[in-house]
Amino acid sequence: MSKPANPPTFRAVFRNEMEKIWIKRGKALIIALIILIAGVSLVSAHTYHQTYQPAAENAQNNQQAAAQMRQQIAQTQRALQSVPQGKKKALQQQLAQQQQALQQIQQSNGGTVNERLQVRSLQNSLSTIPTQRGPLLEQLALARYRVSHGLLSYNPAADSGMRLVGLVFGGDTLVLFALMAVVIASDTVSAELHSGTWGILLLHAPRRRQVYLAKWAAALLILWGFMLAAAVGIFAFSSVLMRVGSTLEPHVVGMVTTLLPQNFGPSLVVPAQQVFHIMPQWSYDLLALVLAMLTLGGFVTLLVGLSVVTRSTVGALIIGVLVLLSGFFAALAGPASLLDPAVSFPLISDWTGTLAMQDNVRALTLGTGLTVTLIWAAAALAVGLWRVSRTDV
Amino acid sequence: MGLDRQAAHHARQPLYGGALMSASTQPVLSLNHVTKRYHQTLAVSDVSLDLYRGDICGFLGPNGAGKTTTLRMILGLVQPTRGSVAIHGINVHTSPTQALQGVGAIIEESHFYPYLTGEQNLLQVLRLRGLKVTPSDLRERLHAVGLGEAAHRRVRGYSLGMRQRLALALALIQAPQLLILDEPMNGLDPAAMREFRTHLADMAQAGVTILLSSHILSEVEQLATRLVFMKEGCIVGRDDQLGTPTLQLQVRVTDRDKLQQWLSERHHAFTPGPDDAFTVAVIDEMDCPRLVREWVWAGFDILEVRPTAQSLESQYLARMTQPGEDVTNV
Repeated sequence: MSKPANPPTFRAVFRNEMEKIWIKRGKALIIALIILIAGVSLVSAHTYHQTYQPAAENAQNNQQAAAQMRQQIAQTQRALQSVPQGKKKALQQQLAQQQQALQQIQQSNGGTVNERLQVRSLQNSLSTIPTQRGPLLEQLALARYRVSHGLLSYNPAADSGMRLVGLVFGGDTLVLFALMAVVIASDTVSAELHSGTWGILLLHAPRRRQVYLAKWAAALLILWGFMLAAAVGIFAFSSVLMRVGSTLEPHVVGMVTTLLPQNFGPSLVVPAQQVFHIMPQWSYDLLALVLAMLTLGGFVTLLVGLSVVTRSTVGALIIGVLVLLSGFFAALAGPASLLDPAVSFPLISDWTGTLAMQDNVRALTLGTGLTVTLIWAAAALAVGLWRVSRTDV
Repeated sequence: MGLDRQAAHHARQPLYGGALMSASTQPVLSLNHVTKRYHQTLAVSDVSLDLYRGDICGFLGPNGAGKTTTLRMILGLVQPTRGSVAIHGINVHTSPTQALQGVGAIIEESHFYPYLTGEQNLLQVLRLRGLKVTPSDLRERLHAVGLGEAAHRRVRGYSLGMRQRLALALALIQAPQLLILDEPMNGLDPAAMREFRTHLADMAQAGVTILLSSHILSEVEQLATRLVFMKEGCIVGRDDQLGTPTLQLQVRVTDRDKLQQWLSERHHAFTPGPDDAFTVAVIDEMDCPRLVREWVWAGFDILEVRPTAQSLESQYLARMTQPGEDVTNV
C-alpha cells in the first residue's frame, strides 16, 4: 500500500484550472486579442489619417501663407513711410485688408486649437451653458495647463499609441473586455456540473471552497492577462500606425477615485467638480487600466458566483449580459442606479461627473460606482463559497 | 455491527481467491443511519452498512433504488440529510480531505474533460494528488489500462470502453485502500472485464475494500464476498456469508392457485415455473423444513419439493420482486 495522498495544494488546483481554461479557450482568446488590437488600432489610425494629417497639412500651408502675408504687410508698412501723403490712404486700406487676411489665416488653423482663444471661449461658455459645466471645466483646466506649459496650439485629432490605451480602458470600449469576461467566467462551475466532471474533481480535491477560489482566481488571471496583453498590443500597433505620442501629454481627471479618509461621508458622493487633477498621459493610461481591471475583476467575481448559484452556463451568460447592459442604462433609474452592479462601467469614462449632473444623482460618481461593483463582487464571492459547499453532485 | 457479524466476517472465505489478510475490527467504511431527502422525495432511507478490510461488497438494486446517491454520499459529493459516513473512522462530510485519502472511485458514467487528452486528464489528477511522475511513468500507467496508443488523443474521441479504462486508471492512481465502483464494467469487452475482475480480486486479497455496484450480476457473483440489496432507498437484504450457497425450493402441489395465494399473503418471493411448479426463495437455510411443515399443516398435497442452490440472479429477483410483480421491471 502506498503512503496516503497529500491533500491537494491551492497551487495544484489553480494550475489545473489555468491549464483547462487555456486549452479550452486559448485559441479563441488569441484570435479575439488579435481582432481587438487590430480593430481598435486600425479604426483609430483611419480617423487619425482622415482628420489629423489633412489638418496638419492645412496648418503647414496656413503657416506658409501667414508668413507670406506678414512679408507683404511689412512691405506695405515700409511703402507707407516713403509714399507721398496723397497716396497713403490707398496703402492704409491695403494694409488693413492684408492684416484682416492674416487674421483669417491664423483663425483658419486646420483643426489646431489656439489655446489662448480656447480659454476665453470656454470661460464664456461656462456662464451660457451651465448644464455642461463638468466637461467645460475639464476642457478649461486642460487649456489652462497647455497655455501655462507653452503649448499654445493643440490638435485634438492628434491621436497616438500612448493616448489610445487610456481611451480604450477608460472608455466605452471596456464593454468588449466585459464580454470577454462573460465568455471566460460564466461557465466556471456550471460547465463542470453539466458535464459531470465536478464529481471527479471533488473526489481528488475535496475542499470545495479551495476549488472554487482556484477557479475564480484562474478566470480573473486569464482576463487580466488578456487586458494587459491588449494594452501592450494596442500601444505597440497603434504607435506603428500613428505615432507613439508623448508620455507627458496632459490628461485631466476630475473625479473622486479613491476612498481617502476625508472622502468618507457626504463628500465621498459629491463630484469634485471644481478640482481637476492634471496627470501625464502615461499615469492616466495606467490608472485607467487599473480601474478597468478592478471593475472587470468585480464583474468576473459576480459571473463565477452566478455560475454556481444558477448551475447553468446559459443562465449565467444571459444574466451577465443583462447586468452589463443595465449598467449603461443605470442612470435612468435615478438613485436606484446605485444598486446596479454594473453602474461603474459607464462611470469609468465619466471623469467629470456629467452623469451625476445630467441625471441629478449626485452620488453617481466613479468612486461610488466602483464601490457598488466591489460590494456586489464581495457578496457574490461569499454566496458562491457558501453555495458551492452545499451543492449536491 | 454485532460481535457475531464480525466473527462471521473473520471466518468466511471470499468466493474468489485465497484467505483474507488479517482483518481489522474497525470498519474501513461505515454508513450510520444515512438518509437523503430531496424535497418530498426520499432517495435513501436510514441506510447502515459496515465494510471491513478485504471485503468485496456487491451493492445491488434496481434503477432508482438509491445506490448511486448512497455511493455519492460515501464520496462526499452528496450531503446526507441525516446520518453520517465515515471512512477509517473519519467523517467524510466534516473532514473530506482526510477521509477520502486512499479512496478510488468510478462514479456511474465516466466523465472527463473532453477537450483534454487522456494523458492530460490523468496528469490533472496526479497533480491534485501531489504525485510527481515522469512522462514515461505517465505513459506506463496509460499502457497498463490499454490506452497507450490513445494517450495523446482528446477524450472527446474516446469510446465508452476507453473512457472506462481511463476511469480505472484514475481510480487506481494511488493504490487505494477503498474502492467505490459504480457500474465499472460498462463498455468493457469480455477480455477487459476478465482482466479487471482478476485485478479487483487480487486487490481485495491484498486488503483493499471494494464496494461494487453493478447490474452485471454474473460479475458480482464471481467477485463479491458480501451482498447488499437496495430497493426504494432502503436496504432490503444482506448476505454477509456469500461463501455459503443460498437455497431455493422448487415445489409442485396439486392446487397451484391456492399455493400462489398462500405465498402472496405471506409475502414470500416466488417465481412460477413450468409444470405448475413454483420456485420459492429461501433466505435462511432453516426456512426449508419450516416451509414444508407449514404447507403440510395448511393441507397442501405436495407432489415434489426440491432444494436447489440459488443463483445471484434468483436471489436478486427474490429480494426485489413483490408477489405478483413482473420481474422484467427489476
